[in-house]
Amino acid sequence: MKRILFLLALCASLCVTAADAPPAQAPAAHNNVKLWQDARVGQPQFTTVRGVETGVLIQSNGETWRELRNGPMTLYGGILFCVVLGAIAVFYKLRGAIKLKAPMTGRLIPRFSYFERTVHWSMAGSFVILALSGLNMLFGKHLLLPLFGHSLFSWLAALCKNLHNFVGPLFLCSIVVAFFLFVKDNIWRASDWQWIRTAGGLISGGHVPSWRFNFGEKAWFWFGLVLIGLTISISGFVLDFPNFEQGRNIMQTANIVHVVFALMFICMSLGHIYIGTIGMEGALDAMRTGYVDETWAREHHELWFEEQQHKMSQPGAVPASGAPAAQS
Amino acid sequence: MRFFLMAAFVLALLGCGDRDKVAVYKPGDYQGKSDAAPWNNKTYNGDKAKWEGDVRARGRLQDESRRIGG
Amino acid sequence: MARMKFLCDSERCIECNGCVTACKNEHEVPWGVNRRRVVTLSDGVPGEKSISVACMHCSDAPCMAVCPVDCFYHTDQGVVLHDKDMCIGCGYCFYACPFGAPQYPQTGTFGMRGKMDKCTFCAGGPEIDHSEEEFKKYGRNRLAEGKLPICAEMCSTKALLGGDGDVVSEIFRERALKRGKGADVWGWGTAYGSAPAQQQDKAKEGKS
Ligand code: SF4
Ligand code: SF4
Repeated sequence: MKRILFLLALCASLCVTAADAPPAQAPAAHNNVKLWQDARVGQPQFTTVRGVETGVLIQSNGETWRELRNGPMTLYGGILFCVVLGAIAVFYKLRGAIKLKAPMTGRLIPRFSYFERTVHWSMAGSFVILALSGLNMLFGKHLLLPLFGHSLFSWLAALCKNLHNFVGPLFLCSIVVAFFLFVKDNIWRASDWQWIRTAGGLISGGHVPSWRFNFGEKAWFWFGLVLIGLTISISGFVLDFPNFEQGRNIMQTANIVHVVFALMFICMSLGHIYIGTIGMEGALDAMRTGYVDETWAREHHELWFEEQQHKMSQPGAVPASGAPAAQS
Repeated sequence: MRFFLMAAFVLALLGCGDRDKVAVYKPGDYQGKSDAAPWNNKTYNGDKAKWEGDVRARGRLQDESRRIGG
Repeated sequence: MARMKFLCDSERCIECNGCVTACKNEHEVPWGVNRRRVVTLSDGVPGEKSISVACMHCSDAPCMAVCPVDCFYHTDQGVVLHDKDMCIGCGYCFYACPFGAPQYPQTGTFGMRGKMDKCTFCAGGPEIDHSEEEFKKYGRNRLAEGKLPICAEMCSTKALLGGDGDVVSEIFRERALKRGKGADVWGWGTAYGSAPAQQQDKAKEGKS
């Protein structure tokens, strides 16, 4: 408020003499209300200094961006993050890990090929780097800086910023590859209805048959990887490469989009990481080794399991997931 | 684990929000390299009053009517 | 306590860019960095106005609020300075600043930003006063020599004023009082005061 008053006072003091003139005597050119209005709304003007938006005398949107970023985005973003963490903790406490009901058979089915796992883990690795370094940009000043002090923290922040800028494009590459790898099995199937109706049996513990990916995984694929992943990548590129003469308004908007979607992405990923590790017995092995036990397949992806069994029973058949059969 | 989560929660909440930036520079408030006051150097030897007087006088020099009008 | 401020009188600024040049020369800023610039509003139209603009050393500085490493600080004189050793070149201060003051030397490929550079009110930075490092990173420290920013001090029309806010606003107030009224407001009568006003002023000063 004070700074607005100051700006107003500044402008007012500069125009006061001009405004004093009785309109009847003033020539049209001297009625310079429009001149100051244009300057106030950030209309580009003339300047000899070359560069992006150097002709803009005042841009007000920076203040809007500051209020949003330092206010609701930090506050509600932080709350959202904590609430999701808490919800997962409570869920784990109440429901516990999803255990296999039948004993393991010891017979393994290939679920993810070597290539699929490489893509997944490069995506996961770059995601974690990006998420941590990005969180540091937003919350580090409030959380880590008081702990580390300015010098050490700025060193860390510089590392984070450079990692973020260079790993970002890698992440986009890996999600593009992952999209083409997994899109086939993420197409809507009729069985997804049942998954939605029963919330995947997550609460009840009931069994819902599904194909290679159930609806939860599909939602993560379409909403997380595709929608949020692309939004984040595009807005991130706008910020990462300031050499395309994009103005500040574009970058402020891109930053807001980037942060809001990134926070959603991180919260969703917490759920994904939970269910992929401590939340479900045997889930991590699938992505670690590429193989799952027959019992796991039957209990979690029954339709896919039957399909695999059917294919395997035919002599000379190649497993659908393309896993090299000779492996491990 | 529960303690850690609670602590993280509280810390995160404390950290949220915009802190007021006041126009007072308190040494110790900002722990980066602290900057010497402009009178704490060889030229002024910590003579704050002299520095303030000099700067004020130079500021007044900008008033050309004082210079031409005597 | 003095609070340093800039004030540019748009009635007087003749867009000579002397302040821009003086600043570049005084601080030997790298190519592509302009701590100060002159913007002409309605250029070429009768009634055009020019304003010299740099960091305005805001009291509630947006740059300071958004910097993720908190490297800005206010000096006792209300000058907004930053520590280049901490700056990570994220560009946030540039997004937030209303006047486009923060500048970046491009150090890397793809427009990667170097450490932010901006007007220091000729007050150097967080290094030992008049040291080699201070000059290299932040430019000359004129304030510690008892001088004011070079841009304001050398302004030929005295459009750009800098220094203690009280002194500067007093100069401007006196100037505004002398400004012509009515038909006199056009032309240089506005900028430098109408002739009768100046004479009256002298007469008054002579009496007192
Ligand atoms: S850099 Fe911009 S926001 Fe920061 S103090 Fe200077 S004018 Fe204000
Ligand atoms: S560019 Fe440097 S000074 Fe500006 S906000 Fe980022 S770290 Fe802070």
